[in-house]
Amino acid sequence: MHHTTKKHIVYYAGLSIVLLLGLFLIRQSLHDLNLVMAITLFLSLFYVVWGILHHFIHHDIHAKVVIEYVLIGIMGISAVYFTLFLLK
Amino acid sequence: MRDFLHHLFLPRESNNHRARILHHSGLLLLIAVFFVLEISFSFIHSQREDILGIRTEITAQELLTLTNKKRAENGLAPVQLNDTLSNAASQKASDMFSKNYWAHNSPEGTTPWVFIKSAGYDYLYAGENLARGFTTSSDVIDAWMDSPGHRENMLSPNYREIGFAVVPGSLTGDETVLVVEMFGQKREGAVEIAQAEQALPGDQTVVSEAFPDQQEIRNTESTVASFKTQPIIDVKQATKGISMTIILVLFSAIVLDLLIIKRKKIVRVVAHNIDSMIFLLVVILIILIIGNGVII
Repeated sequence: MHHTTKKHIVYYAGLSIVLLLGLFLIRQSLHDLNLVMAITLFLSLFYVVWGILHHFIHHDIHAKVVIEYVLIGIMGISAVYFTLFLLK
Repeated sequence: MRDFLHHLFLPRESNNHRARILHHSGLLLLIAVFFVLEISFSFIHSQREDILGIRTEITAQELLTLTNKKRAENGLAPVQLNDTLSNAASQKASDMFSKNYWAHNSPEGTTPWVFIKSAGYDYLYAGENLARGFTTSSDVIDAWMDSPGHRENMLSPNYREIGFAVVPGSLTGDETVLVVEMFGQKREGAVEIAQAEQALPGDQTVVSEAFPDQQEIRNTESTVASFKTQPIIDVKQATKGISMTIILVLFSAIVLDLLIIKRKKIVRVVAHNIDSMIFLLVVILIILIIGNGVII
C-alpha cells in the first residue's frame, strides 16, 4: 500500500500545487466573477487532463476512467457556476 | 431505506463495489440536479426577487456608528457625518458604475479628490475606502479593519468628518452593492497651510501643492446612503448551501470508498480517488470564498 501511494505522490503533489495556485488566483479575482469562472474551467480541465495522463503513464487507462474524470470535472464546474450565476 | 443508502454511498457487492453515487449514472444525475436547480432559481429570481434575491443590510448610520466604535476603542475622537462628503461618495459611486471600473482612480485618471473638491469640500486631509459585495455593515467595517491600509484610514486622527454612499448596481459584469467611504478634515480658513494630504489604502500619503479647478463634476444626484433588501431566501446562502452539500456528499462517498476498498483490497477500474478528493476539496474552497465582499 505504501509503495503504491509513493508511486503516485508526485502526481498528487503536482495536482495539488496547480489547484492551490488556481485557488489563490480566484481569491485575487473575486471582484470579477467571469474571471473566477474562467479559472474554475481551467482548473477542471487541468484535473481531467492530469488524471488521464496519470492513468496513461501507469498503463491503466480505460474509457470508463476517462468518463469518470470528465463527469467529476463537470460536477466541479456545475457547482461553482450554480454558486455564482445569480450574483452576476 | 438503510439498505438503499448503503447501496448509494458505500461500496459493496450490490453496486459492484463502487458507491452508486460514484457510478457514471450517479454523477450524471447530480449534474442534472444542478442544471434543474439553475433553471428553477433563475426563473424565481427573475419573477420574484422578494422571494429569491440578494440580501443586503448596509446603512450609512450603521457604518458611522461602527466606525466611531472602532475609533473609540483606539482612543480616537469620533468622526461626524458630512453631507458634502456623502455627496462626493455618491458621485464617485455613480462614476464607477457609469464607467464600469473598480479602482480608486477612474480609467481617465480622475482621483477621488476631484469628487471631494467638486462636491465643495475644501479639505486639508482626505481619504477613501471602497468595498463591494458585502451583506452587512459590520462585515464591511470588519474587512476594512483587517486590512492595514484601510485600517489606517479608519483610525486616522487627521479625519474629523466622513461621508458614505451605498449603491446597488452592475459593476464589471456582477450585480453588487458598492460602498464608498470618504474621510476628510476641512481646511480651516484661519490657518494658512499650503499643502493638502490625501490617503488611499495601501498607498503612501500623497502630498499635493494645490487643488485643481473645482466644479469638474456637478452634484447632480442626491446622496444614497443606505441599501436594504430582505428577500425570503438569500441567493448567496441558498446557492452556497446547496453546492456545498452536494459536493460534500460526493467527497464523503469518495473518502468512504477509498477507506473501504483499501481495507477489502478489491481491485477495480476507476479514477484515482485521491485525485478526485483533491479536486473536490478545492471546489469546496472556491464555493466558500465566492460571494465574499472585496475591498480596495
